Amino acid sequence: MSLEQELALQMTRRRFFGRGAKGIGSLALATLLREDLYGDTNGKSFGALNRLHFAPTAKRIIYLFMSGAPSQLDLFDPKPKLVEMTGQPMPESITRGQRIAQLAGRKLVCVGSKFQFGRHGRSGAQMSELLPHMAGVADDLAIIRSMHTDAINHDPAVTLIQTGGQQPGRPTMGAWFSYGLGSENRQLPSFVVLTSGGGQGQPLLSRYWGSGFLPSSHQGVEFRSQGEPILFVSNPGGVTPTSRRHLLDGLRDLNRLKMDAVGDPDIAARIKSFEMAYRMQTSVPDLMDTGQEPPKVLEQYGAQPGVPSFANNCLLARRLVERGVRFIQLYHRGWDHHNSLPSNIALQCRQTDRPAAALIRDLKQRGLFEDTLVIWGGEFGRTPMNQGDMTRGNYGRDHHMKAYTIWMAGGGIKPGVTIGATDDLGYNPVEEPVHINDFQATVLHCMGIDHEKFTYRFQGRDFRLTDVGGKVIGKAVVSG
Amino acid sequence: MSCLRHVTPLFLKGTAWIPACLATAAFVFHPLQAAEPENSSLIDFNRDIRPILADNCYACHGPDQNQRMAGLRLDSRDSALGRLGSGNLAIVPGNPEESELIRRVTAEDEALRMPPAWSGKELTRRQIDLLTRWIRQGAPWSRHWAYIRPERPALPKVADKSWPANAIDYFVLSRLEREGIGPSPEADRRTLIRRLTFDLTGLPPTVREVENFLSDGSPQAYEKVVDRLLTSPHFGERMAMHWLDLARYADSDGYHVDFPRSMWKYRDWVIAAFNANKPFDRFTIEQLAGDLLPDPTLDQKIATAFNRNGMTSTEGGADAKEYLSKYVIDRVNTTTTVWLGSTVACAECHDHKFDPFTQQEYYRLYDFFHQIPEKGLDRDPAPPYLWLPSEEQRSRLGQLERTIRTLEANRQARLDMTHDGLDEAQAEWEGELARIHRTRQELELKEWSMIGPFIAQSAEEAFSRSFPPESELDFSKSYQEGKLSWNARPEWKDGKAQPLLGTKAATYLHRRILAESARKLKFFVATNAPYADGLKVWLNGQLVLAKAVEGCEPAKSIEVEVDLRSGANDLLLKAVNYGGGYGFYFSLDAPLEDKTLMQVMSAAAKPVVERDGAEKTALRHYFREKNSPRLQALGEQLSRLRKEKEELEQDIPTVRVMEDMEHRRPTHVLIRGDYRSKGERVSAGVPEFLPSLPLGETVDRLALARWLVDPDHPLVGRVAVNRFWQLFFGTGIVRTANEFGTQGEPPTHPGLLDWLAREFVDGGWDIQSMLKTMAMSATYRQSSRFRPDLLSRDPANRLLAKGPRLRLPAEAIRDNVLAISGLLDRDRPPGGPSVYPYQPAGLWENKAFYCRTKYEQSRGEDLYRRSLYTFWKRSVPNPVLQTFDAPDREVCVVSRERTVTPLQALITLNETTYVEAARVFAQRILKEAGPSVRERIRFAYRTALARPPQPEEEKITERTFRRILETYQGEAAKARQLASIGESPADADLEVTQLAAWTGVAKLILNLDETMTKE
Repeated sequence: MSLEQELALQMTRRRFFGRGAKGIGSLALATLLREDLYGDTNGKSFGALNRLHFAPTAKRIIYLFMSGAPSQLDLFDPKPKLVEMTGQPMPESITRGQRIAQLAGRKLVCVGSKFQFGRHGRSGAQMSELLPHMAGVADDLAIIRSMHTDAINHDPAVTLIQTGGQQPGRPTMGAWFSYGLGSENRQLPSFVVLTSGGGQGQPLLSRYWGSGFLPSSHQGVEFRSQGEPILFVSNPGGVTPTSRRHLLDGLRDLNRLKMDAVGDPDIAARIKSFEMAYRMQTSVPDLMDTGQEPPKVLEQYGAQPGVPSFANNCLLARRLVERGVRFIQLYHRGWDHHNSLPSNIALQCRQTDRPAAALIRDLKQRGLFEDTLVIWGGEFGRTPMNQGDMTRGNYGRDHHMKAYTIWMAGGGIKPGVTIGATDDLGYNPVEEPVHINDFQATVLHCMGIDHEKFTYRFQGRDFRLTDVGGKVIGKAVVSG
Repeated sequence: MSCLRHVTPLFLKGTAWIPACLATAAFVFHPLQAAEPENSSLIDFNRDIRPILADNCYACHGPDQNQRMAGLRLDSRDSALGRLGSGNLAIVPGNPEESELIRRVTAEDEALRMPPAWSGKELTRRQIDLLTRWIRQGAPWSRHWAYIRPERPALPKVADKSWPANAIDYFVLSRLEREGIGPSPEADRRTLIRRLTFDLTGLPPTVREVENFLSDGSPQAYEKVVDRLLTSPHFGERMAMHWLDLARYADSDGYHVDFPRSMWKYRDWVIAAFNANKPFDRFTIEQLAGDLLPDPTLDQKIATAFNRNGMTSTEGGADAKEYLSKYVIDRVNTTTTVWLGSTVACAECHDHKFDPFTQQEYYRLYDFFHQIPEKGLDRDPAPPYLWLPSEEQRSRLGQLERTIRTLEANRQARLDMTHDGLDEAQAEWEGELARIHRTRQELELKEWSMIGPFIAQSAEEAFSRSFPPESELDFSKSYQEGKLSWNARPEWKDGKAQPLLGTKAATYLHRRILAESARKLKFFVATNAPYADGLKVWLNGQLVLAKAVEGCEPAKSIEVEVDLRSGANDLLLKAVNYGGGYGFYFSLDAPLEDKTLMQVMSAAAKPVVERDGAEKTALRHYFREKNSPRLQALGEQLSRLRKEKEELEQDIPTVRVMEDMEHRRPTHVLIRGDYRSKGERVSAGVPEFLPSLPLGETVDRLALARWLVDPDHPLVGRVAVNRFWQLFFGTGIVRTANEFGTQGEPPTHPGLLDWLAREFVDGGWDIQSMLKTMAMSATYRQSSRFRPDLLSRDPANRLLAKGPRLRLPAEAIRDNVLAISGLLDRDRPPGGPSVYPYQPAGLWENKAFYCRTKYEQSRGEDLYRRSLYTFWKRSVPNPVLQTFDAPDREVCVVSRERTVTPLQALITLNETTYVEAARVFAQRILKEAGPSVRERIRFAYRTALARPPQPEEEKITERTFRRILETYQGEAAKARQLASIGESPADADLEVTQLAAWTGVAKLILNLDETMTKE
């Protein structure tokens, strides 16, 4: 056996023990019994879940997270009755005993949307005039209008949708996939995070892409739109690529001597980590250079190279997908419209509508759409009740956890369907309520994973992304 | 079959039968992580049977009464042997054939077979065989091992009596001998002192310390090193690194905005407690209930911050009651994890499924921590808290308060003084103001109109892009498909800020000014944004102002002077929002921020008779303030002192502490953990399966703390020594150091664990003595070199046939390079406020809640302070520490992972601290070592690794040096650039290309796997 093979074998064993010892049991055993123990040398590092539970319909995920919670009532869920009742009190029969956020103790008054809704595509999906571009891809989406959650404030609600629980300490969706499925490439992390929406709005906490109790190597790696794209990816001033290469060559040789002397497989891992870091240094600048895109593509997204924006991030997401990154998490801030909702939401839509639609078209055109799952949505919805000033077509909406809308598309998602419905005032789901855990089960399902079987033992308990709930949304998936 | 002998049921959970032929050498060693091998025929209930039942049966036949089926309970012998509702007997001791349990687990009919298919669980043949043999042997039962008081076991017999150095080694060696494995030889002295120094102080040994140890011929040489390190002030710092993970210590709130908080006095307390070798029982009592001790000292109160370290929220619209409940839950979960080594968190919502722990008992523990007078959504310092000025701060504060009072009185007296000339001068000044006001009447300021917002991709673009109003001022036109058109705003009054809409947006504002004749006009404009905005002003098409404030800098009013022409003038403003809110402000009188001036100007505009008292005083004071040099000086002095006082008050540390309310808050079981669904009322108490609280005493936190450190407690001693073991060996004797319940792994060396626990508890909970016992063992002193014979049998080193070889923890990785380079001040006494090392710009600010957070990097020595003092911001952890597996401290962490990732390599190669440390180390090499390349290389190795280089290493290092040097030949500018990184100045005496090349060598050595590893 060559040294490289020996190292690979040892590393594989090491990985196995590192994880097997945590109690993933049979899955790790399957890894060990695989014929090719040298997965790493093929440029793939397999995850704990070497064998999927069933054939996946998606290989990767782009999750467009709308931080702050967009108003479903002004975008996807038209409520003529609510418009009619604008200015009248919200029937107490609906709100009695309900959790209320900032409106607690105030007069609850109905407010309908001021925006016009239309039916789009052959599917006749309903969207408001704020989403002219998304309307053009309506037939590609599964719109879920009956989402509901358990948390009424931003921090616990984002934590819940990302980790399956409101309490901190659990891994996020991307970390679960990184842990379970490993990476598909040798120069980029398997879980990448992109943020936009400026330095303002609801805060983004690193918990939202954290690895919780999983090894920290599974946490999302942030690609920044300003400064170095990945922290510390650039050589320090005065260090040339040649002198860096000399240093790395010397380092590799010295570490190999050590490896031969003490035989610790961790040294082999360390040697590899420096080589991968070097490859990242050369590949990341190329990846981030959206200036390479033809003007037509830039125009389609509305992106300008070098200008941080949601559009630029959507384009980067496509470039990351092409390079085999498994989970790309976008966060776009600025949807928390307690006041002056009509004008603010119109502005947010002008920044996000076009790029999101362009992303879908672009993925389709490149043949990536069928195995890429695209998700759009926030942490909860907004109330049918007004918050703040209500004058001259101006109004605001508070946090609403009982009903809101997200859409999913691509990899295994049924195109052109609208799932679930809410009551006449948009307060509660009346058809096919979808809980956060159901949504998570569905995402795992698309990736070929049975959400009940994908567990990690921590503190004596087998944890899963869907906590103790979760049911795949049958109507949303092709292979229901 | 023989190779599967040791496979634990846990490992085979949920798998189908695995043929023995697959059990190749690749995984036979796995079971070594678990229990000791079973004796060939005798079944041990705890080792062999309970794990099968717990894993496969307890979910429906366990402690959780709401999930229990068929009335069968397999976690208690009485119930398991009793007659079921069906009349059957699950277990008939001695008679497996009659036992319903065996019938059901072997049933052919899938509908009858247990565990049911829907559970996804399945028993292996071996497990069924074990259950059968166990019942045949009479179904002996014993309690879960961890819930039985540990007894001091006799030392096991060993064949090689010469190897053991102390009791520990008998347990380790006897197990090794049973496995037929020999221990490793003792490591060499250089390795030993480096290992010890990292383990006990978190730092590398100095060259002198290594030399002293090497030259010490006495038999106590090693012991002397151990003793020296245990009494080093850095010992407390090293132990705190670990304890702060358990205490989820952080410098910020965690939830939502993640405001900073002042808690570092607690960190100081922890460090001092370890350095004073405070016994673990007192260490426990003070942290859990120091405030309830009779006449508690200030330090004992500070210690209780342990349970105020949890995350808190200030989120608007949140329900305080919900968060209060989260805080109490955090205290219960942390306290039980740290002292009981058990996770009771699931009982927050339902009875524990695997351990005898009910939901009611969870809320009885909850009641202990539910009595704090906290409100739920307070900002720091959230009461109850202590205010802890140093003597110096206290006296300075008193002094400032007194001085300010005196000066203020002085100032008032002067303001009210009348003397000749002053009132006349004021009248004259008021006349001047009135004149200015009159000249404005020659102007006609028309109403404002506005158009916007024009949206851009970025704020910068919104500022620089020329939207239509900049090129054509046509009020009849509309833009963007009619969405934007000019609107008159007659209601807008000058001097009052108006809100505008849109982020990354521009709004244009226009007004016409008619002037009787050409003249100058001064005015103030602002966007009324808390930070970051842009403003442009045009007069008659001429740009007169363009100013953008970026990032989180506050935006202030700007004074503009323009030349009006006679007749109509067009004043056009562009307000640009960089995020958050923004607005528009215009005034001829005063900037938005100067309320006094505004008041003065409006008072002056009125005829004297119409002015009220306040207005008169405003004018009087303002005039005197501006015209008396004495008053001006006084004013300046006062504002300087007030600023100093404000800064001093900010610097004075506070610490949140525990305190019980006078009247106890009632505690109810929260159904499904929902804070709004109250179940039955419960009172404080401890779980039934553990010893009970002493009768007749007050049941409060103090009683709970004392109960934990009762010498008879089955868990606390074991849990504590297991974590100390983990510090040295990387893995505990119980690998699941956070789970000692039935779902955790059993100890690899149960006798050793119990021996250590008894030794620790009976020896007065002496932490340093316990650590010394471990360090003195032959087990600890073994070489950590990997052995081919162990690679397949015990790669995780659970049998301890070799010493630990482990990557250093995050803090030590960084502290090590600081120490090697000399940047670290090793003599600086422990303790003090948190520090802010280098960090890439914008890390905090870019994701913050409306710029509520700003990173201000430390200067000087604080940049090179030991890493445990780094400001711990939960929502944006320091990347240098986080990437090396330091937890974000949102929740209590018992064991850190040790990962290897490319991001770590990027840090040690490129991050400022590491680059600077390499350069400073290079300076040392050049100044302190001999002149030849070889001498320098040897010096570098000895300093960094406590050993000289091997010849082959020397060759590779020299070759690398020459290659790097070559790249800097004729590139002095590059070399200088490299030397300028970091705030410590480069040594100007050194030739810069040499310095650059040696910086490369230094970095090479600082990046070696060995440098980052305790060997």
